[in-house]
Amino acid sequence: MRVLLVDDEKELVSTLAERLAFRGITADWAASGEEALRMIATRTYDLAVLDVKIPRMSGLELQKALERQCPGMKFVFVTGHGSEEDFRSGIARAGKANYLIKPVNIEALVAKIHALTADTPEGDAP
Amino acid sequence: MSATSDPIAAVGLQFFGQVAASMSHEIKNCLAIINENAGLLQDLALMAEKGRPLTPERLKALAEKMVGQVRRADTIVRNLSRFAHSVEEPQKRLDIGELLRFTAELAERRATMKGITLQTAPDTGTVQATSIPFFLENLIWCCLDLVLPNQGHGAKVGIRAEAEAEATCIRISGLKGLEHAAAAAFPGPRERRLLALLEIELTVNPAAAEVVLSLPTAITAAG
Repeated sequence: MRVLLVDDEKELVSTLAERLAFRGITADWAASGEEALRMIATRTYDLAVLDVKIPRMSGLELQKALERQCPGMKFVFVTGHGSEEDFRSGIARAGKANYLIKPVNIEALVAKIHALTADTPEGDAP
Repeated sequence: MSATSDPIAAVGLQFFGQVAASMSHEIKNCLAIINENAGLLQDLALMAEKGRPLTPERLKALAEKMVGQVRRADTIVRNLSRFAHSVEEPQKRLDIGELLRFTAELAERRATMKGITLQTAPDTGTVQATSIPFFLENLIWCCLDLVLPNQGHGAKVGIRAEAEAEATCIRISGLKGLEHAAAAAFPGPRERRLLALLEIELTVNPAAAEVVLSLPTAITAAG
């Protein structure tokens, strides 16, 4: 399994990638939507963890672009925004179970990644 | 308070909410980075207990990252505090250049999210006017709200103050798409209330690619 992390905060995604590796999850990271799209052109990812707000394109716009290139890719959304509007748009795309608010509990994220990539009912539940 | 009973307060409250939301998002990011690095320290400590070596250099690097984020968050909170206190400030003599630099800091994340750089002039302290700081910040924010969506990734927007004979000018320059702004009925009701309160004349100049706010050297109305 390979996961792609996308967030414009490089210190966040690089550290998260390292911690996921300790937990047996291979993770690459990108600091922009454009970089993420370049990366999936050369490598296959099972799941992407996307910040809802990244420069120049929203996490939802990036999800659509990633899905076009990689149908079947799973997604988890992360946000620090916490607004009602963001929550509604986030769960509309990701489902309530796949939407996390920063700071993220890594064990919860790992559980979500495993659930989604195993294609279990827990991962798809709203 | 409602938009009809106290319209200028409603405008100010909307501005305050937008700035507070933006800054809270930034603080969340700082906390998230500190959280991840603290978690990484826990992971490394656990592995050290199981025999995996942990070097002092690694510990120092992690500590420096966390200290850096604490400093970043502290700057954001300091700006938020200054911004919050500016609501209480009445009409006063202002260093307009300094106010523009502060407002650009408040708006920096909004600009960065669009790939835009806000450029202000270095500190000279020579351009001054008497006005109401919170609502002047509000009006500049409204102008940026109008122009930023049309600039595109990589754009550089200049914000500077100039002293003229009978007035002080704030110029927001390097702007694309101003003909759309002019057509979009700017200034709208929100901006018109601020312009009236601050006795400012607004000019949208697509040919010069700039928006100009002309401030009196001192407003006559009470703050």
